[in-house]
Amino acid sequence: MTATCTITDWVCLACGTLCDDLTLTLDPSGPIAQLEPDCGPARLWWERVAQTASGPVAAVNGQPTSFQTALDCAAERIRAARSPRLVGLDATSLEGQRAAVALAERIGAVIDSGSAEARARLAAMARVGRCSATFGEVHARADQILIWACDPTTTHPRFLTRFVDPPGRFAVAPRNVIVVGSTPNATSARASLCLSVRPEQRIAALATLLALLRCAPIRSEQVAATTGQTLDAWTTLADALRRARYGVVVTDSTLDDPVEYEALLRLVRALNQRPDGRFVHLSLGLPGNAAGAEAVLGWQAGYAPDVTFAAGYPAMGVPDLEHDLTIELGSAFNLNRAPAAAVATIRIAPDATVTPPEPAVAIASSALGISESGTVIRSDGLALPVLSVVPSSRPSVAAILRELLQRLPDAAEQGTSP
Amino acid sequence: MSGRLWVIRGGRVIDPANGVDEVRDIWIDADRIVAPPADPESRPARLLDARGAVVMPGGIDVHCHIAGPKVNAARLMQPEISREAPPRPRRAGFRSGTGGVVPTSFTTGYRYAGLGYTFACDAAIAPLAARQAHHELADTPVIDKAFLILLGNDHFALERIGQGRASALRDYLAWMLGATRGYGVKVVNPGGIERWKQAQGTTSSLDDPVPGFDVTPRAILTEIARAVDELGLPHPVHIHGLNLGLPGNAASTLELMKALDGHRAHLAHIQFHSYAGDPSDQESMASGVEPLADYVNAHDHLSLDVGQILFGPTTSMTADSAVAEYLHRLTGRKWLSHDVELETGCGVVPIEYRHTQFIHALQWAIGLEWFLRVNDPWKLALSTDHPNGGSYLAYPRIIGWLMSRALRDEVWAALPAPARSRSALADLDREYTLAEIAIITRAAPARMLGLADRGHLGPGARADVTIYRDDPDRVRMFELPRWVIKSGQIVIDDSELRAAPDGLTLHNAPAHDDAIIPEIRDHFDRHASIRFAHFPLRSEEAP
Repeated sequence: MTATCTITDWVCLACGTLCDDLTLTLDPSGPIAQLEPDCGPARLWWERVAQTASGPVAAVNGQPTSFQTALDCAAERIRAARSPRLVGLDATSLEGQRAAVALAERIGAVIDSGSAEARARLAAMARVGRCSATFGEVHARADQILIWACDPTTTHPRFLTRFVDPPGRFAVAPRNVIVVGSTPNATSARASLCLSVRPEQRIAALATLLALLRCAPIRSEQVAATTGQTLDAWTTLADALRRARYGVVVTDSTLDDPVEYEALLRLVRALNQRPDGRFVHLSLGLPGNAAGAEAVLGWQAGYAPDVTFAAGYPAMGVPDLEHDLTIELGSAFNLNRAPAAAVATIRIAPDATVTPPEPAVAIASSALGISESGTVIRSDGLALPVLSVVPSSRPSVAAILRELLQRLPDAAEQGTSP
Repeated sequence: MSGRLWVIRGGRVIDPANGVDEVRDIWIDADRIVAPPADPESRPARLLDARGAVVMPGGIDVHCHIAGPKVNAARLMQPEISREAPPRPRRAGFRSGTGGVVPTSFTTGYRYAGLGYTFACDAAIAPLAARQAHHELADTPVIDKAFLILLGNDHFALERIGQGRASALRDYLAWMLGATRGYGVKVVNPGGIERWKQAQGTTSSLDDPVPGFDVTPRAILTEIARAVDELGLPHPVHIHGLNLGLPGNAASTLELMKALDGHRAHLAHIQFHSYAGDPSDQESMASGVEPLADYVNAHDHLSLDVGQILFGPTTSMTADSAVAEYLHRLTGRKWLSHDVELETGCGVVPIEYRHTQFIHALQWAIGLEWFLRVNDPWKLALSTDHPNGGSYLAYPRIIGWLMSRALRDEVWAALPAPARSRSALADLDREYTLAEIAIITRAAPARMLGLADRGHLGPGARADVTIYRDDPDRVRMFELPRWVIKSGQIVIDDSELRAAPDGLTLHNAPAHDDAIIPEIRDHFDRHASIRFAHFPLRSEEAP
């Protein structure tokens, strides 16, 4: 670029809100000159991912090499693997995920999401179902917002300002915000009611609320002992929830206990037994495209978030196996992701050739949301197009995976006919 | 002569759209059926010997649910279904998958092909879910696809209807089809989902007001039907009416049919809307088919699909959130509900239809009554509202019941006496012919969807052909086609999947006045959680 460049409606992948309304002005040398509205995580994400555009396009054992040579080496290692694993599906577009699942199926790999929240949420959903909504429904209708054990003001800075603070078609502002959590935080500072509850007390707290909604007998001493709050405090909260015309319980990716998750979904379901109010649950997602990974696995494999193809067909979960090869996608993409437990054998990511630890085969891709177009899905289920805003000669993750698939042909091609 | 020209020789060709039921040859050039070559000495590149077999156009499903977030949610909410059904292992050229009543996308395509079907229309995609649906359909091989977009609770549409702005509504529908790459327009419980989301119950009559919008279900239905007609869309407005599943709903269904007089309309899964009785008393339920079928027989503006139920476990999935909640309360089963801004919702509840259960037994009989009471099979299509009434894999069993009174009687005899006393199915002796089966499974649904080059075997038709052994066991015959040809390629041979080409996803983009776009943009700016620029699909997203 030789002049500043302004991009409207930029889709940011820095947090699970996946805001698509940002105006980004870039300096000729690449950094953000202006971001409107400003957002700290968005700036940090851009600066971290954009800088990976430097570095070699590919490397084998740390030595820069050509893209084609690296692909050949990757294919060779995959052919030799007995127990491959694929991680980082959330770090690529829907297009990349479709190719990644195809690859995993062909080589009999395990797809490991690494997401305890997704495991807990989907396990709870499989037991009781789930009532949920899109962000726009929260904006349009919600009058009671229960923030459960999270701090969206910090982790998803624009969620509340975009969807809760302004009035909606059927909802006036200000809306009633209630926080239940372990410590005071930026979100609790703006709440009308804040109940401090330690993590280990939350299941008891949910059980108390459920009992109050069902008018079941409750012993106040037991409530105080197990929840750290008085029965009166929980009664006040239950009354507020009962008054909701359209209530929302908001959680984030730190909610990873399946028992607590199920209790929470049961509470939402119980609140929907009222004839005069609706209640939904909203899980603020992880950065990137974790919801897209769940969706693609859902329609291609029937299970999510973890699937094994070791037997030649999809099976649910991650078996307890020793893996001799790990394929990792998009390591720089997710600011919060913990480093992979094992060194990747093959890494396909914008920073594959520059970020330690050094994999055996590194292939540098373009960066989704910066130099790569594709589709992502928000945690509320809405799919968004992401457009490349900075030119790059590097291939997308999807293109790299398709090239890899071509090097790993089926044993026989399908039959032909006239 | 083209070197690609080949022939299906000597089969009994049943092609009702062209009035054909005779032994003849079908010539194919690339992906099209062509007239026999003028030169009698012409030699085909390949000859497929179909002597003794029955040749029909590929099957067409006018109403099913095979894509989009609610289908996917049904998969993820019910891993037990995938675990219990035999998986489909990967083999060279074909993808693996899981089965059950909500199979994975690749399995869906393979299974439809294995059944002799070459086209399926997903009947309910929220506009905001179109982008995902296209991805999912791209992973649904062999068959061609299309989907209908949900607009019966769409805020922008409801506002224009309330304002009496018919041309703005028409332009919006046209723009929306182009933006989503949708094929047609679906209305589900018009205004009722919006009312339910406002926690004000749902609409039960055509004249109930929709709070916050100056409209009634009657106005929504008639104005959208009018707009669809004026746009000249190939498929009329596709309607899931009011009061689905409730005793007494036949009265509102008849009222709905009358309200649509003067417009084309397709009434979906009509079985679920044909009950006599008292809405507050499940035990009062009885068949309400006869007066409805009489109306359909006397009028030509309506087409139907049946939504036949089968006994066994399945999954209810619907954009009609109120119905899903009702089913959850009725059965106590797990319940998934998802509200989608600007337009709709969805609900998913597992369900098991039991032949010993009075209501379920009656529903089975009511579906079959519809098939047997509508005189003109061109007005009616075979469907199970997959997977709501059961899997599309059950179509051969339904065909068996339609072609054999004896097979119906076997089931009827095992039904509870109270159910048998509330349906006149036993009085209906009609048995379908093969030609009538060909109409309700391919020729009529193609005509309903406006698919001019499908559902028949005349020159110019897409070469989608199914060849069955002429087995006196009609269930077995339709379960295991001998050959299936998709766009000129043999995909099923000896009842085995041999090839899995990508299918097409069809869509319509009628012309509209661009003056409507600033209004839509303003609507998005004020109410949507995504930017207007991100709503329309780019051409490369849905080629």
